[in-house]
Amino acid sequence: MTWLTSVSRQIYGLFVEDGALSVSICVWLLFVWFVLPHVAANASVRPIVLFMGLAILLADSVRRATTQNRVEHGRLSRDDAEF
Amino acid sequence: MHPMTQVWTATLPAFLASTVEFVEALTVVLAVGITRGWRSALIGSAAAIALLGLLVLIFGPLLSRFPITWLQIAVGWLLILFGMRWLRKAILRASGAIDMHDETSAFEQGKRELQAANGRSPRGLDVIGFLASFKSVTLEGLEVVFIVIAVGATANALIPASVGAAVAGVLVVTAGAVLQRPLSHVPENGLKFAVGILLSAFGTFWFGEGLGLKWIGEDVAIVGLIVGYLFTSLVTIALCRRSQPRLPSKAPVSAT
Repeated sequence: MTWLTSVSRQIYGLFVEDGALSVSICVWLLFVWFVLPHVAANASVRPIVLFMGLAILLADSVRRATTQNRVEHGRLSRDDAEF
Repeated sequence: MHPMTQVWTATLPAFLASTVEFVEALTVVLAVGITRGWRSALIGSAAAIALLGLLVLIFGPLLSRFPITWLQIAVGWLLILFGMRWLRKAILRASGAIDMHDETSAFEQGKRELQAANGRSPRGLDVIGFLASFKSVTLEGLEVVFIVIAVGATANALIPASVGAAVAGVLVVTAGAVLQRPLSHVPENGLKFAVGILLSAFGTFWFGEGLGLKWIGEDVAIVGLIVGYLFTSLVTIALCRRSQPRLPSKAPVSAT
């Protein structure tokens, strides 16, 4: 049972580490899928918008982690450092 | 997609990611072999490899039965989540926000835990050694299986992806067998950084393909995405380093 829990946690952990980043990526992908076609008529612009959004979300996630690190105790916790 | 593009987009990420994961699994298997005996370590590893191979054989062909558009969207989505996770971690490590992974420390800690564990049976298989080895190879291998299936099924290149992972496995196991110690000199964070960029780029490309987006330069857009993610990561690392004072490093962090 412990092993099954461990495997389930590992599978979940494959895709989610920073919950806020994962949620915002999902929201952004849904936006690009369903909303962007109605907003940006030019089809060649949409791939660039898709990439730019993801790049900004990544940079923001790292910025949040670094800021939290600085505010709390200089470095992230040992658990967060494990991979 | 051009056939050669299909092959390298499947083989390269599978090879690099597998190298990282196999190095981590090797550390535990070595600790098991040295402390609990090689028989249980090797049988545990072989059982895990058989299970992982079975997963690839079942889910690989199964995924290719789905409509390619839906497959591209689903796999692209998952690869973005997966790749971004690796890339974020690699950026945080490269910028000094979190400690680098230390295979030697993980090896020593694993040895201490295994030596302290009771339950060695006088005859037959050492259950603790078998389970430790099996669990480690299975859990580390799950990421390899996901990458092989994802890039293999989407690029219609399951065999090149499997070959990439297998070559990495053979290289790591050979190096481990020769050296008899953890491969702590493998630039693990550099590999994670590269894999994170590749998977994020491929995920973005395939998600866009699934939605029917018009990529400038078609397949060549993948190179543009790789450069884009690389640039974003390097700028982010530079900004983090500038904003974060370097503090004395803590004790190295163990592997999971």
